[in-house]
Amino acid sequence: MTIKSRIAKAAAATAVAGAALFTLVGTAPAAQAAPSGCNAGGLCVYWNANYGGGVQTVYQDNNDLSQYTNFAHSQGGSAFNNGNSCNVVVYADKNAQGQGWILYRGQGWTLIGDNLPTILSNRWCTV
Amino acid sequence: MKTRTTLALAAVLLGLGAAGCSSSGGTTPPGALPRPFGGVTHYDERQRAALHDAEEVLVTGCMRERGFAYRPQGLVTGDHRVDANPYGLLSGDQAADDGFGVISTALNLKQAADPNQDHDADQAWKAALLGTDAHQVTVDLPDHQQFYYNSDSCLTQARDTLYGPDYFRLFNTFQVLGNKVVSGVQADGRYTTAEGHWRDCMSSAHQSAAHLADPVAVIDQRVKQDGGDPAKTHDLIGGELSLAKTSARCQDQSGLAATVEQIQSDVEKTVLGTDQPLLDQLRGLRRQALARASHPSPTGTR
Repeated sequence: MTIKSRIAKAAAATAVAGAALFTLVGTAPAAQAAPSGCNAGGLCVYWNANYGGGVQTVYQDNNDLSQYTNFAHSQGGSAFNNGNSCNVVVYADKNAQGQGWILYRGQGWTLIGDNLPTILSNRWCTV
Repeated sequence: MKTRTTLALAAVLLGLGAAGCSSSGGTTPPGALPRPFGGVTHYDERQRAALHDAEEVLVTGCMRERGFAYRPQGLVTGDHRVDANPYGLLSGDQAADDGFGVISTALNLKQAADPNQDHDADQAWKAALLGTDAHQVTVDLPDHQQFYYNSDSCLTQARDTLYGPDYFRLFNTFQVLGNKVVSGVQADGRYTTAEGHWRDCMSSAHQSAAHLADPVAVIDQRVKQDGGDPAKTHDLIGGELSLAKTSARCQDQSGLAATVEQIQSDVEKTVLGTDQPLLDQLRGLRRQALARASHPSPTGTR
């Protein structure tokens, strides 16, 4: 992780921490299908590995996710596809350019590495 | 905005047809343009549809056995960017037929509503489909990455039947390795030199672009800005076709595809190391899955 992204993550962590705490309270089913805080039908990206920290979720196709901190700084975080019916393809670049990464429905990346430092666009149901 | 854009662009659909875009434009296979590991993680449109439909049949059967209704969903249609080359390479034929596929996607993309949305809050239904955390399986991938799935899910049961139990470990492994190959190629001096020749060629054609991805971003921006204005749509379409043809011509002149192919071969050897058997295994599972998808079980269950 670069110094720049570390600083950005540290700054943004403060902003999303409250949301994470709020989400965790009151949602603890005995046998969860998806990580805590990940709403049904969405692609959830967590600030930390293993589905910790704040979560941000997208439900539709996006060409520019740079304004969403967890997506713009995905390295070191985690992701889960909680879609009901579809796989999702994510791209490190805007406008679905470059090498796409398929995150299959019901699967998660528990730790996103340095080869997907950003998730700046996504497409549902294309694969 | 999206609807307005589509409507405005649709108004000049005939104009795009006259420019050379077939009614099924964008589905032309990318031909010989290089992809990491021979495209082992890429399926063409027909293959994607067959695999998806076969998986949905299996998921539906599994859910039914567990006492739940499940409505299969088809893939979206009309996204002409799905088969875009990961390096941004573009053939002359593709450019002439469909440009970069940006405007034809805006014209033709058909999103389907989630037919299972009414089960969003049904924990039992979700648990049957996605499985439960008590059955979580974590799989290590190269470069310290990991993915997980729940082994008790209908999705896992369906995928094991269709692809084989080891497929997703291998698929995800080669997603990681394939990405390393793309990054490695783009960081190679031979690539930056060839891209520099392409840039010079683009500049000579009065098109400013630093990287192969830039012209696509320009068209995306134009569509976002002017796609809702019917008076500008004809120029938008003409602009995409013209820019795409210029980019493809400059790629050809600078020998980019051949350069990428050569570097890719070198980088793949380094990235693959001693993992050739894994690649062979993934190719075998891929072949089997495609064969199963083209001859699905009559019952759709194991």
